[in-house]
Amino acid sequence: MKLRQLFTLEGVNLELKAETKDDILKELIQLLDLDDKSETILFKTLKRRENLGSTGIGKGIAIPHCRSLVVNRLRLAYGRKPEGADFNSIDGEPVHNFFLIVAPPLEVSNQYLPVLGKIAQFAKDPDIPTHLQDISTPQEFLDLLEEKAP
Amino acid sequence: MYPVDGLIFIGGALLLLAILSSTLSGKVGVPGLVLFLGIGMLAGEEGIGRIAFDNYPLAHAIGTVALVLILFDGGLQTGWRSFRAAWKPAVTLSTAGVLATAGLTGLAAAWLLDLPLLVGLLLGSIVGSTDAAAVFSILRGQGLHLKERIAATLEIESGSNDPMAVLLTLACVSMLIGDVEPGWSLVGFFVQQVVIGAAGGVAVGWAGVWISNRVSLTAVGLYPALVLGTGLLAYGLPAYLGGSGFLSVYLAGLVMGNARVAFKRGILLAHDGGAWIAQIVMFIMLGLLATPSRLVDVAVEGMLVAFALMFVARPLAVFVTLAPLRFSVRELTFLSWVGLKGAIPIILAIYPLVLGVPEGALLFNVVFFVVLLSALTQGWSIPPVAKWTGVWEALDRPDPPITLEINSVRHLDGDIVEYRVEPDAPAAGRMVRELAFPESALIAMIAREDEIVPPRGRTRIQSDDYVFVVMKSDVRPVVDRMFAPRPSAPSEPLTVLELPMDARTRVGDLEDFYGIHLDPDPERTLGELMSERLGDELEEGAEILAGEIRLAARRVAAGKVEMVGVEILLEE
Repeated sequence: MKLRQLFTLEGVNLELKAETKDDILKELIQLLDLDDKSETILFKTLKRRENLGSTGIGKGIAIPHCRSLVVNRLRLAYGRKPEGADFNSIDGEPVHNFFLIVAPPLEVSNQYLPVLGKIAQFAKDPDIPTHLQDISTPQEFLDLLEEKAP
Repeated sequence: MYPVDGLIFIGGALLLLAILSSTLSGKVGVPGLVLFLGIGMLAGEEGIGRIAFDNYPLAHAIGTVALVLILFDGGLQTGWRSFRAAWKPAVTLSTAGVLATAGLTGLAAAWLLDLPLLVGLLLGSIVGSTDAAAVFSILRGQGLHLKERIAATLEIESGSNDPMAVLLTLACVSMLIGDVEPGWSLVGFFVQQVVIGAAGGVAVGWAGVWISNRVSLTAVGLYPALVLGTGLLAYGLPAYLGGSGFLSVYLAGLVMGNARVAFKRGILLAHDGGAWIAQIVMFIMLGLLATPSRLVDVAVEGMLVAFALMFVARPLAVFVTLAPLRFSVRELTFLSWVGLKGAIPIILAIYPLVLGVPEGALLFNVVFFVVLLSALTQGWSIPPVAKWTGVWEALDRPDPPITLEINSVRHLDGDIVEYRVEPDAPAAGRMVRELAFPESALIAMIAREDEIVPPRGRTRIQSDDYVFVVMKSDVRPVVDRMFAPRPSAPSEPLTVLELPMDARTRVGDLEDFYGIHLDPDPERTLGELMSERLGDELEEGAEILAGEIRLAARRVAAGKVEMVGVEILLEE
C-alpha cells in the first residue's frame, strides 16, 4: 500500500498553532477526529513514548507514533509548523514537519512498522523538506506523496 | 631574632621567586622544575646565596613527604575517564615499561661507567620513571593540546610509574646492602610491597571516603585536612607494615578523587596547592643539595647515561611493550621522546646515600646530571616533536573569564557545570527560552568575553559564550548535548530510521510500542540487555540484534549505556 492512500485531506494541517511539544502532540491528535476521551488516552500514550526518547529523528522531522486501542485501523496525520518548534530532536534542531502514526494493537495487515519505515524513507530524501515547505494546500501534500513516496 | 625567623624569610622569598619564575616555564619551553632547581643552586653554597646544605637524611625526609603529597595529589586529580581511556598502555608503560627502561639503562650504565652490574641497575631504576606531568605544563604554555589517547596515557603513566621506580630502587638498594637476596627472596619482597601497598591504599582510600561523608565537621577547612590525614595514613600504614607506601598513597588518592566526597572542589584545590608547594620546596632543596662543581666532574658519564636512556632504553621499552596496543609509529616516537625525568629520580638518588651504598655520591651526581639534561633537552624539544609526529591538536580555547564553584559540605545531587558554546552547538544562536531545558536544569549565568550576562528568557546564546548551568546530575547528558558540537553535518541525509531511546526503557515497553519480540524478560532494560550481550565490547557504536530490531549503543558513560539507538529492521 502506498503512503498516499493512508492520508486524508482532513488529516493534514499546514499551519500548526501550538508552540510546545505537548500542545503540538494534541494538535496532531485532533487531526484524527477522535472523541475527547480517546484523544486524552492517545495523548498519554504518545507522551509515554516520547519520554523514552524523542521521535524527532533530526533534519526538522518528527514521527510521533504508538499503538493504541483508540483506533481500529492504521491512522496517519501530517502537521507543519513553518517556524519550527522544539521537540527535543536528536540533533537539537527545531522540527518543522510532524508525521503522526497510530496503529491498533493488533493489526491484520501488520503495516505499522513498514509504514514507519516508509515515512522515514520519504522524509530523509534531501529534497523533501524544501518541497514540504513550498506546498500551500493539503491537496498538494497528497500530490507530493503520490509523486515521491514509496 | 630567632634562627627560624631568618629561615622563614629566606623560605618565603625563595618560594615566591620560584612561583613567579614558573610563569616563564611555558614561554621558554623549560620545565618549571629546572627553574626551581636553578633557583636552589643559585641560593646554594656555590651560588650567590652561599647557603651550605648537605644534610642528606633531612633531605630524604623532606623529599619523602613531598613525594607523598605529589603522588596523593596525582591520584586525586586522575579521573576515571582518562583512566578508562588509556589504562592499558599507561599501566603497561608504568610497569613493564619502567622495568625495561630501568634494565636497559642499568646495563648501559654498568658498561659505560664500569660499575658493578647491580649498581648499574640501581642507577637505571632511579632514572626509570618519567615525569610526564611536566610535559603538560610545557605543551599548555605553547597552546598545544595532545590527542586524547596520548594525553591520557601520559597522564596515567606519569602518576602510576613512580611507585614502580621506587620499588625497583628499593629492591636494588636492599640487595646491595644485603637485606634481600636475589631470587625468591627478591620475588617475595616485590609481592609483599605490591600486595600490602595496593590493599592498604584501596582500604585507606575507601575508609577516608566513608569517614568524610559521615562525620560532621564544624569548619569546612577541616575537610581538606581530614583528607590530607588520610593520605599520610595511606602512606604510613602500609610502609610500616612492609608494603609500598608510594603505591598505596597514589591508589588512595585515586579512590578518593573519584568518589563522591563532601566539599570536593575545596579539597582538590587545597591538595593541588599542597602538591605545588611540595614540588617547589623539594626542587629548591635539591638545588641547594647539589654542588655544581661536582656535577661538572661527572658531565661525561652523565651525558653517556642520559643518551643511552633517551635514545636507546626508553624508545626500546616503549616500542616493545606497547607493540600489541595499536599505536602508530609516530605516536610511539612521541611517547619515547617524552620520557622526561623529574623530581622522583633525584629523591630516589638520596636513598643509596642515606642507606650507605658505597657508590652513592657518584650515583647522586650522575642522576642529577641526567635529570637536568633530560629536562632541558627533552623539555625544550617537546613542542617541535609533538608537531612533527602529529600527535597534537590545535587548541584555540581560551580559559573562561570566570569560574563558579559549589562548595558543598554535604553531598548534593547537583552540579554547576560550565559549558563553552561550540559554534555549531544546538544552543548557539538561540534564545534561552527556546532551549528545551529539562525541568531540573537552569542557566545560572552567561559569561561573554569580559562581561556577565544575566540569563533571561530572551537572552540569545552566542557561540563562544561560557554558560553555567545548575542541574541535577541525572540530566547532565541531555544538557551536555545542547552545548556540544552537532554530531553530524546538517546537510547529510538521514541514513537509517534510528530512534534514540533512553537505555532505562524496559524491554516490555519497547515490545508493546512496536508489537515485536525482543527478549524473554520484559522487565529488563535495554541497557541491561546490551551490557549482558556485549560484555567487554560495550562501547559507543557497538550493536546487537534482538528480534526484529538492532540496538546500537549511542552514548556510553562509566561503563553503562545511557542512550540506545533503536533501528527497526524492515523486510524488503
